[in-house]
Amino acid sequence: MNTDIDTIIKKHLHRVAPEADLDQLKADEELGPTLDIDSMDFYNMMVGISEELQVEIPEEDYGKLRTLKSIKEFLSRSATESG
Amino acid sequence: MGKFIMPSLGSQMIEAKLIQWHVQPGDTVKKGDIIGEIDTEKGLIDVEVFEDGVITELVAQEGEVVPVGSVMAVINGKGKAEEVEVKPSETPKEKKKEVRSEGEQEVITKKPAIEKRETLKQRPKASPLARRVAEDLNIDLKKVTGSGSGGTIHRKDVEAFAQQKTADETFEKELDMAEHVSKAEGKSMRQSIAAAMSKSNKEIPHYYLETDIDMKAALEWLSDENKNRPVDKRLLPPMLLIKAVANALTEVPELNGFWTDEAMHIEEGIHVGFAVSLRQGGLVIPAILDADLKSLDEIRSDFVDMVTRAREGHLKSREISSATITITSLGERGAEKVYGVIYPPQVALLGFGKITDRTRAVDGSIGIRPTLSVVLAGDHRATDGHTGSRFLEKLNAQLQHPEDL
Repeated sequence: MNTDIDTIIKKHLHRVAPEADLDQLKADEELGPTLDIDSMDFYNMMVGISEELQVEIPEEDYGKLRTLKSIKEFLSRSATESG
Repeated sequence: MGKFIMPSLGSQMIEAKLIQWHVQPGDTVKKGDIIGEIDTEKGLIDVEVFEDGVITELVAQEGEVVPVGSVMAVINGKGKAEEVEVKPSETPKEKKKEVRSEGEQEVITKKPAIEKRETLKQRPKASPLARRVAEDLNIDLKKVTGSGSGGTIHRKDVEAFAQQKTADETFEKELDMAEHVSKAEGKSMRQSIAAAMSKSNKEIPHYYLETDIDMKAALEWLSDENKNRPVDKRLLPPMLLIKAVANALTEVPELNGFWTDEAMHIEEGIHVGFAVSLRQGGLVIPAILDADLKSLDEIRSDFVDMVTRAREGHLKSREISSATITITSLGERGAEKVYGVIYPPQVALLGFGKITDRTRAVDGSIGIRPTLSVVLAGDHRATDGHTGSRFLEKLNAQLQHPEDL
């Protein structure tokens, strides 16, 4: 399950930052400054992920999802809760 | 018979390459339909048609580089051929004003009447010699500032004006040349920005006004509102800012429009342009058309759609040539303040910095509030600081009542 989530996050990250080497990205690095993505890129990425995985991302969690690790944890948690 | 011409999408654009037509002779088109795709220094742009009718001829070939103002297609207007605007061939510099937007066309068509009235009322005061020199040098005396008593124009004023005019024209030519050369080198967007910003810095006497806006009410409202919305319908701060700017401009319209022909032309339509930076470098400025008349939700969907298209291509011609004012917002990772450069012929640019928690005096005590620094750059030829200040006050008031936006 975790590998799937990882692939999906990276696929959507690749869409907004096509030239970034995502294999070099560390799990706890902040995505914004590391990949130079802005709030619209981030928004597009989260919309893509939530559509693909059919997960709602509550407003209060949205602001906390700033690293690969935090997004992965959140999505794994949502998957467990719903499934 | 209407002629569809290559639109000008910015004061420095000279030509664009037609990538493909989306229509064929015989097709019926409606105002606003996208009929083709062109490659410009602003990326791939979808061009829209401005009248209803039937395409009778496609003049420009796919792959052809077409100068601004040249006929690309012929359209048979629906039953009112005589009303269809046929643009005579002129130099590209004059053309850009005509094709910019419907709003501006209105202003331009109104202009001769106003000028005529001014001529009757007050012919510029000038010495007979000055008049003769002006006629020889083909100079409009109304544009010359007189140094004599009561503003009387003397020969030396006319000659000084002529000299400046020649220098300006040479400069324009150099800019055009720079753009041509750069196109060949494939760096046209950078050069196009360079040309527009150099022109702005050279010609526009900027004044700057800065204020801090307490964003507590706006951000709390946004957060509450977003709780009830799915991720793809959520509102982001820039959408609120665009709407607030548009509403404030309805109260202070003096900042909404263009400085052309040595005069301010206030535009009726409020088209808020916002700078979108591109990953490969450079930026484009699409505009949300009639932002004052749109709901926050309409602005949200326009904004998301345009940012995406700005980055992937396919902005529409009207969207990148219609802005009547520009916003630059550095977002959540940027600097706290931005002093922008006005995009000519607009007369104002608003710079929004990053919203940060700062100490503020609130109701007689010290509080920590999310604060937004706003810097207004105004064209001092068109407005004064007083107008700018009034605008910032109205903007602040708008953002204190986000529920009314």
